[in-house]
Amino acid sequence: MPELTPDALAKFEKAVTDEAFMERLLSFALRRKRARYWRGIWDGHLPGGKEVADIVQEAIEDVLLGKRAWDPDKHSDLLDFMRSVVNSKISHLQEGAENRKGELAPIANSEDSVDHFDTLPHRNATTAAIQLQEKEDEASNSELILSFYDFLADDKLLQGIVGCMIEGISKRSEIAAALQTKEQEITNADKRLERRCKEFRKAYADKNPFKSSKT
Amino acid sequence: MPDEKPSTPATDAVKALARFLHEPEIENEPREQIQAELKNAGIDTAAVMKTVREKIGQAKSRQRLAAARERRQALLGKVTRLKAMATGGGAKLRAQVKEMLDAEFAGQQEAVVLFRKFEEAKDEDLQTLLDDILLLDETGDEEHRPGS
Repeated sequence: MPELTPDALAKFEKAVTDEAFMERLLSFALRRKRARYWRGIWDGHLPGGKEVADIVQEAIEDVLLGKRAWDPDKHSDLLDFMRSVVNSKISHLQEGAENRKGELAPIANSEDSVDHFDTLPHRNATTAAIQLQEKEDEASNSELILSFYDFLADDKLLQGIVGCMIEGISKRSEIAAALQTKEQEITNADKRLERRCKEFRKAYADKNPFKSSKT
Repeated sequence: MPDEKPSTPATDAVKALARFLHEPEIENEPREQIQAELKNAGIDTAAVMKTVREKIGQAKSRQRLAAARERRQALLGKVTRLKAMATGGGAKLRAQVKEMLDAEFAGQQEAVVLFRKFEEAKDEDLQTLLDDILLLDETGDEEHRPGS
């Protein structure tokens, strides 16, 4: 795909070198990353050590190199366009981290030679490794989410919200119905829940297997 | 047999918690709040801006190079035509060379010197001088290359 035209590049430069624009884009990437990548709840990092700044910089470079075509006439709201580029990059990272079966070649071992055309799960060492990782993650998540539930014992609403999630109820309206309260009450509780989550991460840092060494 | 995904209720609950806390994005949030959020997350906006400016600078250089390459191709075409004319020699050729030097190398001291040589040159030397024009153009491209 062709790079930006000189006129489009001038418009692009004017927008992305505006600090307020960049702050909004970074903020979007930060929230989207946190929402999509569950390890962040426990202070974990994105796969490959990628940070929010890396994702935003890559998204900008994709547009500059023409990997993502930006036409100022078609997409006059550049922030909106850049959000979609960032969003797709984060989705790709998340899918790559959680479902690598199709992306990685089978790992060779001493007893089995690699057949790149063989995608059967029982012969695919990567699948086995991912399933093992998922099992370990599940065990660690189980311990942490139940500990978090107990940690919230002094706030019945927050404990109820996390309890719903453990039961598989995740929509705000359904949580409100299960807890016999208004949906707005549930929405209003999210900042409080985030604060408590932060406190929990500190209190349980030594028992948290997902905690990145960087934090 | 289909590859069944094992049930992971605890991981699903953690995913739901992540979405609950961070979606949806809040529109029209005050700038101070966004700045505080980025600061808390350890994101250095100034550093990102610096890298972005560098990447834009590189994109501009690529555009300049592409334009220079295009210009050179056009010039090459002109010189080829002039070379063909040089076999006939004469005043018409000199006039066209002056026009081309004015258009392509206006203000360059080397171009002035070259044209003086053209005016004084014998017809058989014209071809060598046309080769010098190409060399002058290549030097110009070098000067426009990033980092030069």
